Amino acid sequence: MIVSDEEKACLDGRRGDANRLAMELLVEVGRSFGAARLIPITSAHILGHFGSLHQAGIDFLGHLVKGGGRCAVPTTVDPSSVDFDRWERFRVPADYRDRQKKLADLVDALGVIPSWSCTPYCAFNVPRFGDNIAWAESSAVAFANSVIGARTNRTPFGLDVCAAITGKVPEFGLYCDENRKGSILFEVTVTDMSDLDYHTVGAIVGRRSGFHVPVIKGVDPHVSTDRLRTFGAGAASAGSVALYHMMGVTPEASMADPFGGRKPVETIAVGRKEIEAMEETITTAPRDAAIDMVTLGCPLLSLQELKDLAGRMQGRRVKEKMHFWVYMAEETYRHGKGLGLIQPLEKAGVWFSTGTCATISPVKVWGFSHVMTNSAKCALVVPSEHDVAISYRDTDECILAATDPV
Amino acid sequence: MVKGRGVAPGSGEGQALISRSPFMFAHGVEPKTGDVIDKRSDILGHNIKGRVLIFPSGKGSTTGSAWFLEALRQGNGPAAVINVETEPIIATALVLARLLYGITIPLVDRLEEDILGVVDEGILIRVDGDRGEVSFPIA
Repeated sequence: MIVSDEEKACLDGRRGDANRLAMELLVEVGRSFGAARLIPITSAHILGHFGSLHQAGIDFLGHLVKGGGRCAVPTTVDPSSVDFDRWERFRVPADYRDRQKKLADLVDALGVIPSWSCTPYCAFNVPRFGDNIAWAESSAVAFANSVIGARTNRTPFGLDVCAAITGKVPEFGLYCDENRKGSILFEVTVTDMSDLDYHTVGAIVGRRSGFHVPVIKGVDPHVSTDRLRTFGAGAASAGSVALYHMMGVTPEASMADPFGGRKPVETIAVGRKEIEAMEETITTAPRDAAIDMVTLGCPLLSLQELKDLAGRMQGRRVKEKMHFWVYMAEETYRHGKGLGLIQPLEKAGVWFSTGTCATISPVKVWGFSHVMTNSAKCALVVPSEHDVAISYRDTDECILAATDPV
Repeated sequence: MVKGRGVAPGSGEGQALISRSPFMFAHGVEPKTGDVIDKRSDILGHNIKGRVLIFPSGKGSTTGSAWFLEALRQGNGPAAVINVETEPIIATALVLARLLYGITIPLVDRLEEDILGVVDEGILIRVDGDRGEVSFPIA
């Protein structure tokens, strides 16, 4: 691997301990994946939630801070395991909150933008087409690569923060043109796809793509950004999709042959039958089983989705003993209040939570046995974390389950 | 003795524990015990501690390297890892373990023989990550 003079200075320890360790990790991992060199990045997005990082994460970030580590490029952070403003209401154990606070202090010390959001591309970290970035969070990676045409791998914890503090990343995987070509084709034959369908088709593409880059045909070229977010989240969590090309929609699909001249290894039809079958797979709870909690906002709810929810919730109130939890970024909550969308929903019994989400916070302490959600990613991830049965239904059914007419 | 590519240095030996599908550490291995907790895994309920863990490749969320690192920190990691083709979650976790905790777990992939086809569950294997070699059965 070719190492520049500046990179060598880091490896020799002339830029401090943190940079030395970070550069060593970048070079070693890069070597394992055939990287010829390191390349500069324009931004990073790191993980910072205690639920997954554990003490090891605290140790690593602490070690970097102690060694003088500081972000060399604009860096945002994924949701916390704890809503710092509302942790008591959500019954987060105090010692768990303290561990997350420790992580948050370290994230601050590194100079990370305290965004605590899985949708950095919405605000504070907006890449451009062709930008090399180093992002963790598979749903954000799918969006940045596919919808924007920036370039990143699914950056694992550890590599993310090393890239952030050095501003470098090993050039392998999706940083290379030849690895960005599609090799499997999905032909969507349903018209009039609902919000839920975008999650579901994402999950189908994720499950069936393996390590291939999927190309998707047949999706409405006017598809909204929110639906592309949820499609990508489904694909990234049901499988390993980090990049997809959607004909008529995404930039790399439009600019050149997304297959790079090769034929797809497989062509998979996605019709109503396949969508219904996937929905059945995702739902683990029997129909009509009593529901303890309904949750929306995975990926974190957008302002448009909040507006939509407010409309559907008119004349309804959360049932007694029911929990209706909706997750969003802190700035979305603030602007939602400014638009007058939050207050009627809170009055109706909805609990908002910012900077965190159901998949990574200690919801387990509530002892729910059955959760309903309109998100494929949430439905796929929550059961493994919280040992609950899950119902995967559209927003209207979620509202029906959680509320009564006033 | 089978030759492959040494990805992470060091040597380790133990009884083979084999998974035939991509293996997930995120919500997949309980760091406090080393128990496999991924309900979809074909080795659900097995314990990885001290075993030579053999699987095609890593998969799953970008948090996987943190979960693996925490298991290693708690002393519940494998003696060695053998992949068909490794991927960044696994490789990063092992580099982190070495640089942060001085824990050296060898990782070898791209073996000249189909490792999943020739190794039996439970047999003793030695893995040399420096030479990229795997030996079994150990006398």
